[in-house]
Amino acid sequence: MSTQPRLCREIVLEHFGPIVEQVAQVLLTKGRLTLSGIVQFTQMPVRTVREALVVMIQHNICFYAEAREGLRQVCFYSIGQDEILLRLRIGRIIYWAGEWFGKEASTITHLMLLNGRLTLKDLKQWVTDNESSPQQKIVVYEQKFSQLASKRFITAVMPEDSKARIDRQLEAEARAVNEILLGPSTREKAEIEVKVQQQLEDEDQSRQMIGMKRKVTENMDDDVSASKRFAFTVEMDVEDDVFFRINYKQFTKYFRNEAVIDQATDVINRGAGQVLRLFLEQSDSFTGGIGKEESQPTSALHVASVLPHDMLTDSGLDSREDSVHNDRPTAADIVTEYFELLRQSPARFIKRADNKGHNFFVVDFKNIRLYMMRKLFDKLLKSRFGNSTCRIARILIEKGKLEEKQVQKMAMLPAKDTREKLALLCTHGICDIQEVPKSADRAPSRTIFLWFVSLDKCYQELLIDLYRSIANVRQRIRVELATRQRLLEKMERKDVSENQDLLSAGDKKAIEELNKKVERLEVSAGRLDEMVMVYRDF
Amino acid sequence: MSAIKTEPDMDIRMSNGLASSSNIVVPAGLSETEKQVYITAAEYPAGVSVGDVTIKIGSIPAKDVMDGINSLSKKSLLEFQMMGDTPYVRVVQMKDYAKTSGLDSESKLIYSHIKEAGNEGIWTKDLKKHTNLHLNVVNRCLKVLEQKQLVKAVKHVKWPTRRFYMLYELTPSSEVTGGAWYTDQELDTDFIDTLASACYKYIYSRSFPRGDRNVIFKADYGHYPSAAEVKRFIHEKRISSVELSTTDIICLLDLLIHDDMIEKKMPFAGFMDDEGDSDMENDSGGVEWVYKAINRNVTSTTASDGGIDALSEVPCGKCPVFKFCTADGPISPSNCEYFNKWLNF
Ligand code: SF4
Repeated sequence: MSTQPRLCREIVLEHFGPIVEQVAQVLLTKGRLTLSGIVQFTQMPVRTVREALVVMIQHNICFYAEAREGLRQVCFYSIGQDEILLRLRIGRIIYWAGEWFGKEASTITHLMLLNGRLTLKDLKQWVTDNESSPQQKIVVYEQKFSQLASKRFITAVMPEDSKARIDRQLEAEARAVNEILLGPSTREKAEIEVKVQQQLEDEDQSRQMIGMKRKVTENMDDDVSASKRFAFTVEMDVEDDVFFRINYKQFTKYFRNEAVIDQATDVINRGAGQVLRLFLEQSDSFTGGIGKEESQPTSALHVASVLPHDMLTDSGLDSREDSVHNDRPTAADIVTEYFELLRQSPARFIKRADNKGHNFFVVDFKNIRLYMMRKLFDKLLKSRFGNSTCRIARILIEKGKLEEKQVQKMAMLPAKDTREKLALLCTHGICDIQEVPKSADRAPSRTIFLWFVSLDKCYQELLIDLYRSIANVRQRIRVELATRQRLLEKMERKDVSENQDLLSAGDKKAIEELNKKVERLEVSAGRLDEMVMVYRDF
Repeated sequence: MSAIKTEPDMDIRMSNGLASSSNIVVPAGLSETEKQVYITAAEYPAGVSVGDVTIKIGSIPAKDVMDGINSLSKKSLLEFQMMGDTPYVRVVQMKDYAKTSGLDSESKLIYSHIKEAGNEGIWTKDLKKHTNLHLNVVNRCLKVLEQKQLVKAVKHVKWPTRRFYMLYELTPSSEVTGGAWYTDQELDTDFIDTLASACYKYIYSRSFPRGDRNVIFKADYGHYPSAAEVKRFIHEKRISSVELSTTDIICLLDLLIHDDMIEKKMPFAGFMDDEGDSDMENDSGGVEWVYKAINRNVTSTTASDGGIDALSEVPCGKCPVFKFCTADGPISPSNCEYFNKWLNF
């Protein structure tokens, strides 16, 4: 089974259990099916299949499409691999929701992921049932809920959520084509495609306000401190009985921002990271999400106005040079300086905004993304093949197509080693050979062989390797847990969970060991997913 | 090329200069005319045109002078050279004369060809082609010449299997030896590594302010080292026993760039702009690049920057059977030995 579906299966099994997994597997391998089709392939009762489908639709990983076949209306089901893969990020989402908005927000996301979708009413109900002092808590929860919603970390569930994106696209296209009287020309078709993409994008964007109503503006200064990190807050209230779900895109966007900031801290220094964070917060607005190449433009003055005071005394910039002007640098000085550093750094974090005047800058996400991918790729090559092989690959990436002699000269390696290393890279599919025959007979002796690395291809393959590794790790976690099944069941027992002393010393040790192993595996899986984010989502 | 070609001539000129005209040793057994011609010619170590010789020796008829020149040339005491259209003569140095005088004409021919090739050396095949001699003859002559320590065989880095010959006393040019990076025609990787790491240390020391690791230089910091400075450093510290040119150093620095250790920067120019960047590259080819270490946490070329990427961390990242490993096949994560080891570290 190819890699991506296998990982999906692994995730579904882990999150939803074996029955749903079977249904998912059929859908993953066979593609779109009707209910009876699924029943036939799974050999399971209709009822069970239907329940499994409902669960998946509820969690937004399964889609249906209605089509007319002759006189009958048939309903096809399909599964969203991308959506399933995003579920790997759940732990991270819950954690960061807590970091950004407090404990309650983390609980909200948790609940939402457990149930697939959630209304404010459900949430209130849950609070009443589970919290010790529900009356006060409800207010807090409600506030966090609307905060999450207005920041679009959660969005209202819409009917088209249960339709596959490709269906929505085809439908919209069909509609557009119908408007044209004659059959559309190729050019028109292409135009329609672009237009439809845009339309769907817009639909997703405009989603933010659905399910919200403008807040009565009396207690504006209520949670200023909490929302200060996110500029341009519009205080909104959430309607009680609209279903909400997690908006992975928005989370990914913030993960990306964090990664970019980390990168700046790493490449330049802490101060640069801080300034970049302020930059992103200043320029952040509802638009400019993931997939955009640049942030909103902002100027050094804007950022300087929010520069924390400790940066003034401890700017992280070397000041010994400045014996000429002894006075302390102003906030604007520091920020301008950091902007310059960010701009000049090899990662080119920011660039001048195109048509915004001299002092405006944008964060160049595209460039940073490429930079991060490269960095990670280099690191991988280095640890997998060693220094000099990595050097050869880097030379090829930078210079394009090269002959062996040239490579050897630049890499300053003996001819024999160079050849060996090129061959090694070749067997791992990292570099390829391009032949340029000098004569019509294409004799090898009269052919120039050029080596090159096609980065995009490497990234694609790397992503697949990542999927496979994650699947391996996840499977291993499952196996590790399964071998200790008995023990785990024992742990679950009421008397044991209340009194740990009922466990024997051996059991305790086994549990500890298991925990350690699982933790190690989980951490690795998380880090792998981080890499996936860089290569797929940023 | 042309610069290198003239080198052997220069050698001779210099040694001739030492022999200064006052104490010219005239070979014995020459006629008066020949002596006269020889002395006159010897005053011009770089050679003198035949016409000038005739004028100089006014006392002897021009025809006799010409005869004298010819007979000297036959005795290998004078050699002819064409400069443009005019024939020049030059005395053959005594020691050179002694060397070649005992040789047969074929060996002499080969010797002169090898001499012409200078410190570039000449390939045996080319020798054969130029002299039109049979290969056996060429080999025999070479053997003789080698025995007399007049010529020597050298290895060429570019064609390790070909035999190149040059005069015994010459040092092979960098073309032949491969330059500073080659020892005995082999790329000296240890030497390169040592030098590269020395360069890196030096650049590193000038890339970040001392003290607090979090403090960095400003964007307009102007003291990142250039290649010339690195060269000076290497020279002063006597790290290399070989004389290194700036080109050699740039070669090394490029290597460090390819290893992602340092970056190349335009020196700060105060008014730099986006547009300025490209302009400067274009119209001032003389701008010297400066170099800066990239990662502060990497203090030497052998140290790694600590972090390991997620994929290499898990066993699968380096697994030799990664491609064969399936969820439920004979090799699978469930029974994977690598994982066992990794989890029980
Ligand atoms: S699970 Fe084990 S056998 Fe499979 S790829 Fe990973 S390390 Fe290799």
